[in-house]
Amino acid sequence: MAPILVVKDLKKYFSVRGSLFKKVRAVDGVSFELEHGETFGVVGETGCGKSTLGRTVLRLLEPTAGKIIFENKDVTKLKGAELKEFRRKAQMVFQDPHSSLNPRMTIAEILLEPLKEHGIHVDEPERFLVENLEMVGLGKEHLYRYPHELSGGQKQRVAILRAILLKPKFIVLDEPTSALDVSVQAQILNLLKDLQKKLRASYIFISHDLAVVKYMSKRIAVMYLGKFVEIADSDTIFEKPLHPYTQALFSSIPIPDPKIARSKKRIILQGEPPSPVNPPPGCRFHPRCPKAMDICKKKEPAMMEVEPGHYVACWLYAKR
Amino acid sequence: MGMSLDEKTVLKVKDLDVRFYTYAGVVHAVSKVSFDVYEKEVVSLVGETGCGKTVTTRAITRLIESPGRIVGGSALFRRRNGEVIDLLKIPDEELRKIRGNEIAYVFQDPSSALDPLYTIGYHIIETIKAHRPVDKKTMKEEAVKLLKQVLIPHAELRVKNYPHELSGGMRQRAVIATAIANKPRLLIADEPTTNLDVTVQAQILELLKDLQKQYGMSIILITHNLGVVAETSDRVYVMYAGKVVEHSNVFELFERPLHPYTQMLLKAVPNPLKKIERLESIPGTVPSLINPPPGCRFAPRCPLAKDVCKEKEPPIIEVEPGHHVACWLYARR
Amino acid sequence: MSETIYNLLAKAIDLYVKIRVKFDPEWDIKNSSRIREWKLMAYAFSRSPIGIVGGFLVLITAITAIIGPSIAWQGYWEYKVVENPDLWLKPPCLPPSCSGGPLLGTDEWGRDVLAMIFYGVRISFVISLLIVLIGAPLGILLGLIAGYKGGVVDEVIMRITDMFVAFPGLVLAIAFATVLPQRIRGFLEANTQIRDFLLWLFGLRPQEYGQLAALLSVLLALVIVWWPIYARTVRGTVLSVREQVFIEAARSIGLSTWRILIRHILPNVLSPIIVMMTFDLATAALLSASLSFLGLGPQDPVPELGFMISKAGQYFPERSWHIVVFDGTVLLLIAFGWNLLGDSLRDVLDPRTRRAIEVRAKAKKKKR
Repeated sequence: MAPILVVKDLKKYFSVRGSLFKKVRAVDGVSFELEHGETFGVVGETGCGKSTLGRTVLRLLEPTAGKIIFENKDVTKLKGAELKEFRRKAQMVFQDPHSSLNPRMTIAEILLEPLKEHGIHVDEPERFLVENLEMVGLGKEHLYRYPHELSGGQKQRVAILRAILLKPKFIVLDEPTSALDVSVQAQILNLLKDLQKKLRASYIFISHDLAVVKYMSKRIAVMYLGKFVEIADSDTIFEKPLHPYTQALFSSIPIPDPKIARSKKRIILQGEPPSPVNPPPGCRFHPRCPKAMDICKKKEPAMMEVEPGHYVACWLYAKR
Repeated sequence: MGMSLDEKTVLKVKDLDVRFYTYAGVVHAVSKVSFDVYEKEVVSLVGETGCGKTVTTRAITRLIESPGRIVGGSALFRRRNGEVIDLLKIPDEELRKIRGNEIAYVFQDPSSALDPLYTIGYHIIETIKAHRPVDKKTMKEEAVKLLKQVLIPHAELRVKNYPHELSGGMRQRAVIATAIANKPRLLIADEPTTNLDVTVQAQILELLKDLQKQYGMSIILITHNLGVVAETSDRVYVMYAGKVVEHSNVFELFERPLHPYTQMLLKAVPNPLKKIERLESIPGTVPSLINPPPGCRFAPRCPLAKDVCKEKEPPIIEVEPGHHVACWLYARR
Repeated sequence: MSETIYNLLAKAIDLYVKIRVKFDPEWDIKNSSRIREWKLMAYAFSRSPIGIVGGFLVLITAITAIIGPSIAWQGYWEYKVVENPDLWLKPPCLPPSCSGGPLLGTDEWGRDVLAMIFYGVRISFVISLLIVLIGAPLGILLGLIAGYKGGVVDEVIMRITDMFVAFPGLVLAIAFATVLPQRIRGFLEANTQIRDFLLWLFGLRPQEYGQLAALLSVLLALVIVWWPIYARTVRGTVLSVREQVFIEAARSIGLSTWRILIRHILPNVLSPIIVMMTFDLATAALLSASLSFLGLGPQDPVPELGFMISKAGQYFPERSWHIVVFDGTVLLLIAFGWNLLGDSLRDVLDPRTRRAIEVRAKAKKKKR
């Protein structure tokens, strides 16, 4: 079956204030495919561009260049009714549950709004909403409340419900559990998994929490300074990370097991991630890479399939 | 007088009780919490939002402001000169000499811990000046030395930087430099890496461990991240709803968690090295601490709760050497 | 005292709910949280002494404005002094020392000062309402668009706003007062329906449509000077609300810009605006009176409060102190009422203070 979403060489640049030429290259040439019903994880640290990527794929930000192909149409060129139709099929769940719901609307109004906007008529709105609320673990008593009367976990459930009411084909989840406690996080992650099965939807799951991404995703992409450096399925990428950044990243995760934690060999990266305004020439990671070679400073490596389904952008694996 | 402390103990907190008097009622934020910190060790206080870990550590040096009040308990501290004092009872002047000097804090958000109007060098010098009368030149040299110790590159230049000129990780290092400026006996780090990236977090935790060995100080580390606990701590205290529910050394805790809350918490955290089919979540929510219910505070959510759990609070007992739990599953009535 | 006021307000809210329920049987359940919030605001209001005093003053002003011209026992056009020269600037006749005479004295046309005040309050009330109700929405609209769209649109609107801010209000009013009334008079002659409506609004006779023109020129000058502050304030608030995640969520659902502005941004911007408008009603009343005082507004016989004070200047202080004092006090009370109300509204509408009050109220209920 063809992938549900194909992203080709997507770029999103922001202009720097006060300068005509300087640009923040938040997303600088990202390509990937999203299969039906899969969860594609994107991990990276602050400033790598993963949030920007999520928003650009949904055209909440206008792409600077590249193609986003959904259902055989290039999303970057959609207008009017077609764009609205795309919005119905592609939804987003945001990170902060406390500000993603309009504080002046009741839960019922928040949930009915997307349906009204897309002309989806519901016969008995109250019964419909209550059924759906129960599906995400809430109840009738929450229907006419204001967001501030709900807890963080409950608010996030409402946000998730709002996203799925339109029965989207794919959902971008931007750090959906980062603002929640550990026990609530587990509840929400399980809910997301259940819903995915019911909806047969695809997820793009963005997070900086590597353990959570591994739990949720089938395939994972590691992002650094606006580009993907490695893509593989989640088991492989943890067992056999190839890119030096991926290796350092995964070795930095604090493992909740003291015996392993203390015996593990840690790769501590030097320095800080450089600014996305002036990425270093050649491979962007070379200033911090423990295995940098001469060629890394001059030419950017392309993404290559090193093993079936395992892609890396690194000169260490390029066939000369 | 009861002010005796084992030689190897730096801090002994006993039956600490902190309440917040709000319009909605009295919040029992910390109820009869006791814990010890020994020489040269890292102790973690683990728990979720609202469990009272932050309030506990602030209470130790009386950093609690109205409407909060320290209602009871003692915090015995052995000073550098060997004197043992109760931090909750000594006069304000004496306490001020200890804060920043023998007990130092590192907080969660480095951006708000640093005053944006002053250079980081100034911050360090200010801390030194408050406790040690040394001349300006020496203080400036010490500031540079400290920045080097926390592995800030080009320390001589960085000392003149303002906080906004540094990245998050560097700011936190600067805050740590300020904290260790007077070679404290006890460093209290409250979620020091929660706001930082995972690679930077690894750097900071390494740094803290190195400094701890170098300076021979003890660290109280507050976190909700069990991975961080596993990596850094010697002993762990698990807190829930204002009480300590379990404490032991770190290996014991992860291998043989005794309290149902600890067990469920460990199962709710995804471990990337294991193949997990489904995370087990803890049903329900943290109870309100206003007029807490009688009995064990975890009982409403505990799958193993018995009748006695809802009526009487379980005492803390030592189930195995060094491993303490507050749970009726292990205590004899 | 607070209890009765709260009960009154609560009853009014309940009445409103009953009416809504007649049209939509489920309305009260669907909006239970909203109704609770209104009652909470009513409670908060009833507990603030300045709110009660301000509300009381505003209520008196409004009632006086509405029924004033109807219950005034003298027409403002009657120059009583012609019939009875004794009535020239008669000092106030206050019981118990005096009886039978005009309570607050008379002016130099022999008109009862109190009756004139009834007309004057109507004029001040209406003109201040018109200034704010025309100027504010204009500014709010421009502020919404500028704040949300950003970029060139924002720059253009803001520079236009800057231009208007730079207008010296007084000079503009003088210029308008010189040129406009004739033009407006011509317009009013051509559109008798509008003319009659406006005359009724201000409580004036048809003969005074020339003076109405002068009033309208003052109104126009003030509206032009008034809207920029709203545009700026709203733009600022919109800039911060715009960054909130629920706005992005609204876009991701596919809502049009217009819908987002009206349904999501405006309600979250409204609270500080309402407070600002309340304060502005006080300022507008005083400003329009001041302009009339300078002679830029309506002339005799229209008993505009500021104008009356100005005329009394000739004989001040020996013979006309009562006009200045009483008319001035009325203006003071009008402005004071709005100011106090605005102050109290600011606290009532702020969800944080309201929550503190809510929590306190719940605690009290529990004690009982």
